[in-house]
Amino acid sequence: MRNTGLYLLLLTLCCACSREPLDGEFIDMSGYDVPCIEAVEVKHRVTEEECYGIFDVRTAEGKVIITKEFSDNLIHVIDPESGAVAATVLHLGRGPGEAVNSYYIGMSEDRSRFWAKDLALNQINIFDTRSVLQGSRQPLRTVRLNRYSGTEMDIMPVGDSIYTCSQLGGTVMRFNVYDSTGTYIRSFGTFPRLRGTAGLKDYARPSVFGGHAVYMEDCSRFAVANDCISLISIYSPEGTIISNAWGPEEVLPMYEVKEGGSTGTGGVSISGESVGWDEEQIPAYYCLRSYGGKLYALFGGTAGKEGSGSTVVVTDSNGIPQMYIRLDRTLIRFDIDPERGTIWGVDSDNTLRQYRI
Amino acid sequence: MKRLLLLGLALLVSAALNAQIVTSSAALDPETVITDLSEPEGSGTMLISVSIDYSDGTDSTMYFVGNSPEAAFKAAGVSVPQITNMTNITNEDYIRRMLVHFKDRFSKVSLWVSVSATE
Repeated sequence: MRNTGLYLLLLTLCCACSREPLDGEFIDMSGYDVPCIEAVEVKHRVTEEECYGIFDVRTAEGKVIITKEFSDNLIHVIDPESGAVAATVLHLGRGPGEAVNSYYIGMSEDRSRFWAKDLALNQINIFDTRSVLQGSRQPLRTVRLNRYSGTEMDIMPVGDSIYTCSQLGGTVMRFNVYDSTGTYIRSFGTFPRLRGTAGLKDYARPSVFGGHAVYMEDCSRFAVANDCISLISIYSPEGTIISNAWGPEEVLPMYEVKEGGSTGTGGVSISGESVGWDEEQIPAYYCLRSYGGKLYALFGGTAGKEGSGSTVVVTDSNGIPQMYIRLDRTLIRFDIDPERGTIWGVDSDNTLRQYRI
Repeated sequence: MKRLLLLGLALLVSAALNAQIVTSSAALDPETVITDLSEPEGSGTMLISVSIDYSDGTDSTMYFVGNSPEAAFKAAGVSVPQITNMTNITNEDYIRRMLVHFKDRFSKVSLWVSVSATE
């Protein structure tokens, strides 16, 4: 009888030790032996002053496209060879071709179009890259969304529709879809069955699973890489999860759901801030890009927390890791041009960095 | 490293503030000096306030109307590296109430660019 008790205790301990982060099948990146290469930082000619207030970076046509504050124009296109500003768009304001703010830059996989959302005016300005380089300052299209569905930072124009993924509350589904005029159609998509989230309040899910979304043009799939959890989820166009990829390092911090999903400070109320994270939080994924059927996900992990570097995790369209690209600095936003072997990034001091791979 | 972790949150809070600010406003005193940088006069669409914290503990706020924050920074004698925060506020009721004593002079203003800087 005493042995049986001991056996049960050992079994319980074993079960506890092998507890998986997700219910059901998932891809454990640590189980894959993939090549790891070191990217080498190279100098560029973009001035430090040009980069003050920088938020995001993309690259197209050999140029660098940045969003920034403290300037009359929110998007600058820079020639990295000379450091000269080749074009500026989105003058600050509320008129045609103007915006009040713009943070993340979305881009088509062929880099022929780029776009940015004005969160204040709730509208998306879509530009033709070549037209901008030829001097056009007006967007190809401006679409004003007819409702706020959480803080939608990542925008994915697909055909005649515009898909978004909320980073904070305001919706209880993973994605929102609008028609070409910006009229809300529906929300869809489930959240991953992460350990400990089965009873999570609906309004808290977008915050717990807040992350960065892309549309993978080659395979018509969506992917989301999480901010605070080392998880990349791949979705079908209908919003069902095709696969969950866990890693390359386990990041699963503690968090606390705040009642009501809103907080207030002074006379200002902010809705949607529904989750408080552990102060010892380790950053997981900072940014996600998709080119040619591959995902390029910027991972922080322990190195990111220590400020000693980050990793670009390259996966196939199912989330299976193909390669790791190590960077000796911690970047918080990035873009990659696999054909040119170039990575552009913004580091934690808001400095623009260039790497060769 | 704290700055790194806070960046994403600051960005989102800033975004939320821009989009959903709900607050009470106070009208600018009729004696407030507002420098009109717009051409022609009165055509500016932005109220740009530049608040400077000086190293001796004092501070001052300058107000401009125009279409170029960069021109306002220059007029205030502030260089871009001195800027610590910039918030763009679109609530037109708030802006109207703030400019109630200046509504004839600056009728086109629909955006308030609030800038903080240190010297």
